[in-house]
This record gives sequence, structure tokens and C-alpha cells, in this order.
Amino acid sequence: TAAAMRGCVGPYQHLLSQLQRQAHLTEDTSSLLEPYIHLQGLNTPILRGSCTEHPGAFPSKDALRGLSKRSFLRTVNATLDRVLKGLVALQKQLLEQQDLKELETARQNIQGIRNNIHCMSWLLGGSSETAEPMQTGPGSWLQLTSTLDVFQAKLEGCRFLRGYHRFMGSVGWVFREWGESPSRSRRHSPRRALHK
Amino acid sequence: AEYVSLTPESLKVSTNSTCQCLQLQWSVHQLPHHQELKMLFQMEISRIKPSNVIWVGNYSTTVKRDQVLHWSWESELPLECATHFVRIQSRADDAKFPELSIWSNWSSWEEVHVQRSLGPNTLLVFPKNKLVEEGSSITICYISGINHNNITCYLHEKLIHGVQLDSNASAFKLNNIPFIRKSGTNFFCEVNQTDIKSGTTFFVSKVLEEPKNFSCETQDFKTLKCTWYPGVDTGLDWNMQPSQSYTLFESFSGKKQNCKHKNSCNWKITQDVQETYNFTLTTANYFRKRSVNIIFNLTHRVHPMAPHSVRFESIGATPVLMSWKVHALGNYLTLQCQVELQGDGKVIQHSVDMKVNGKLLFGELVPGTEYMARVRCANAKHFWKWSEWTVENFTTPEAAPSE
Repeated sequence: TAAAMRGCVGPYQHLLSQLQRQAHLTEDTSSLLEPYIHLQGLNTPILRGSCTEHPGAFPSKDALRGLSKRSFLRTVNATLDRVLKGLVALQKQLLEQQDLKELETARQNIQGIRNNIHCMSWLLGGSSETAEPMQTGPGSWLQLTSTLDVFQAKLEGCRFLRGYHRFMGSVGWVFREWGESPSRSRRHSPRRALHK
Repeated sequence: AEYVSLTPESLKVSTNSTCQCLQLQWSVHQLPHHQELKMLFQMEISRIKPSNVIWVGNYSTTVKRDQVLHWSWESELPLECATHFVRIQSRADDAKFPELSIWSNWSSWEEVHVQRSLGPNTLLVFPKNKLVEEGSSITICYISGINHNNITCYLHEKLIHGVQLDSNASAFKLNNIPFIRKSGTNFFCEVNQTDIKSGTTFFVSKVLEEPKNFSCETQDFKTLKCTWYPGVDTGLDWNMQPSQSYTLFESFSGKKQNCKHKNSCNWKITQDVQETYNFTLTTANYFRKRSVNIIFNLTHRVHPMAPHSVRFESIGATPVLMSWKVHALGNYLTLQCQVELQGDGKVIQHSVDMKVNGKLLFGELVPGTEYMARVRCANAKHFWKWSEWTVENFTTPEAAPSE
């Protein structure tokens, strides 16, 4: 909305470098996955081995690279919306939220990224909401129901966060490929198959 | 007398995995009509095979003809990990009917399966999400279609060895379990050189502690503020157990109140001022309840608010009249106030009794000097606590120039 856009500041290059920085921050597993692993007692070689990203849960790097800028922004925005829901689900499993402060920090960082994505979409003359973003694959999303097997749920939470960090790494990669001006891109990227 | 036996019939056994319970129901059909009889039932429970009896016990109750009887038995081993067998026999337990006092025949064995179909690559660990109290024990087990030698299990991070129950199941008895973390303790097994893993998380609740230093006081005769030291929080993640609850019950009024905070609770003093209060503070979690109790007279628990409206009035050259007020306390309790005056390198202390307005005259002060006065009050008749100090500074006027 116009009111939301009034918060958009700075030229394209400033916004892009901010998005690159934010992606780099959230790519770092020590910002959330590692504290989660320690909190849930998953810090053993065997259980770490089980903490792998669900195939298809998050868009792959190649899929993201094959999107137009606007579609890329929409896909990132939609995926981060679902990430936020996942983080809320994880937070509900804690007796006290401050036991994993990194979760709340991650939620705020993601909100910041989504705000900047709105601004970038506006700069590029589109919106990050309208058109249907690229759907992620059949990979399961974070389902934490009350009848859950907690051990399984812990691993699911771990795999979800593993995917989230990897996804943010891929997002950062694509942003780094964006050129200095809204119209140019370091690599021309004809639309390509959406999955690995 | 010709002996007649009353064999239990229609024995059915169901299972409850959460509580790891076998739930029995049966009837005694041969009882004479309109007859109520005190009977004794004996149960035998076997595991893996009927001959392997692991538990025998009795149950006594009064029985009517065709009445469906119920009884439950908790297994320390998760029911999924072994087939159980149950049979039951009975006799009268009533001196009026000696002819019925011989044990009946056993019922036939009832076989109880919870076990799932075991594929070649199946590895399942039980129980799921178990909640136990610190210091107690738990038995964890796995069932698998894979050779035991290829299965390795870990408690938290440590390798752990179990007892083989049969070709498909092994059990691990963990005693005196410690609390490790709120998110539970992980037990998992893996099949060597494969990706096959399975595990469970069990939750260890700290032992609920009795609240300490429980006391109540009032600052205004409108509200009683009760406080205590709660001890450890026994809450757990994954909604396994909320933090312990605290409830206040006052026996004279019969009123009860749930406390929002874990270390304090405000109790509204009703109009008909009750003099004596008998409070029971009860804390509870899923395992225990603990209570502490205090009885007191309201006027013995007055903790006045700090005095206010402190004023200084010079009267003539050096005397200064200090005045202050206190918040109204019930029917104007008599308060004893301590006043301290610091200045000119000296400390002067006074004690003043008052109700609402306090006054104190300081004579022989040094002109042109800055003084710090502080005042606090307490219940004169039944001391409980001093109020906080109220501190005010003032400077005595300069002496008039001598003619």
C-alpha cells in the first residue's frame, strides 16, 4: 500500500546491499539452528546426521536463479511468510520464549527482509504480493500437532531450520548476482525449469 | 458342605499405551440371583509366553451376578514391546459362604498384542513422550525386524546396552533418572551402517518443592499481598507440563484464589473486616501437591507505605517544625515513626507516635545549614515491618545580623 511504501528509503543500490547483508546474516546457522540443536539435545553426530533439509521444502538455488526479479521477490516473500509460521510453531513448544531468544530475533530479521522486499518490488514497479509465487515442492512443511512424537518433531524442527538457512544462502547468492541498476542483472537469466 | 467354584468369565483385556496399562473386565455369571458376595480375584500376568509369569496379584471387591468388573495394571515395559498374557481366578471372601471359598479354575489366558507389523527394516522405540519425575525410573524398549547385533542405542550422547527380551525386542531400564533439560532427554537407536534410526524423547520433571518463606501483609487494609519463595520451576517444553500452579485458600471465609504469579498473590480484603486469616498456599504439578499454612491477625501484618507530604516550617531563628502524613490505615492505627536528622556532622534520632499526621519540633539547629531528614513508620502496637524511608532535605535560615 502507499502508506507502507512511504517507509521505503534509499536508492536501488542501497536497498540491494541491505538485502544482501540481511540474507548473509540469516544464512548463518549459528543465528538459530545451532542454538536450537543445543536446546533440543540434538548435538550428537548421529542426530546431526538426521538434521538434513527436506528435499523440496524450500526452493532450490537453481530454481531461484531461474526466476525473473519480480517473481524471485514474490517467491522469497511467500516462502518467508511460511517460515514465520514455522518459527511461531517452534516458539509455542517452549515453556519460556527466552530459552531460545534467537527465535524471536530471527522473526524480526525476517520481517525486516520482507519489508525491504516490498520496497524493492515497488522500486521495480511491481508488488511482492500479487502474482502467485513459485510453489515449493511436495516437501513436508513444519507440522507440529499436539499428538506428535516429540523426538520426531525435534528432528522436523531441525530439518526445517536447516532448510531455512540454506534457502537464505541461496537468496543471498541471487541478490549478489543482481546488477547495479534495477534493469540489469550480472547474468541474464532466461526462465528455466523451477526444480533441481 | 459341597464346594462350588465361581469362575470369572467373559474376560476382555484392552490396552492404554499412554499409561502403559492393561485394562481388564470380566463377570461372574454363576452367582445366585439377588446375591451380593464379597469375592477375591487373583490375576496372573505373563510376558512373551504364558509360562513366563511376571506378576501375580489379588483384587477384592463385592460382586453382583453378571456385574461387569474392572481392574487395571500398569506395565513398566511399554506394551508395544512384548506380548502379554492375562488370566484370572476367584473365590468367595465371605465367612457366610464357606462352600464358595475354594479357588475357581483359572480363566483361559487372554493374549494382548500392541505390537505393530514388523517389516525387515522396522526399528521403533517406545514409549513416546513419556513424562517421569526426577529420581524415578523408566523402561525404554525397541522392536525391530533387524538383528540386535546391528542395532546401537544411545541415551542422550552415551552408548547404552539393553536386555534382549526376544528376537525382536530389547529393553533398557534407566533408574534414578536425572533432569537434564526442559526439552526432554533423547534416547535413540540406529542400525549400523544404515540411515535407519528411531528414537524417543522422555521428559523428566524436577521434584516439586514446598514454597518457602510464605507470608502475607497489608499496606492499606484493602489488599493482602502474599509472597513466597517458589523453589524450582517444574515446567517443561513441548507442552509436556506447565509450570506448577499456586492456589490460595482462606479457611475462615472458605474462599479460594488461583495465583497468576509464581511468587506472589494479592488477596482482596472484604468489607466485613475479618481479623484472623488462615491461609493455605498449595502448589501442584502433574506429580505432586505441596501446601504450606499460616494463621495471623491482620493488624499484626501491617507494612505501612512510606510517609509523604514531608514539610519543614521555621519557627523563629533556629527551631524547625517537621510534619508528615501517612496513608490511612484501617481504623486509624497508631503508628510509631522513626525520624533521623543529619546535619552539621551530627545525627539526631527521635521516635514519634501518630495516627495520620506526624509532627516533630527540632530546636537548636545551626543557622544557614543544610540538613537531611528521613522518616519511616511501623505499627506501634504489633510491629511487623518498617515502611520505606522518606527523605527530604532542608536548609535552616541564616542567622539575623547581630545589632
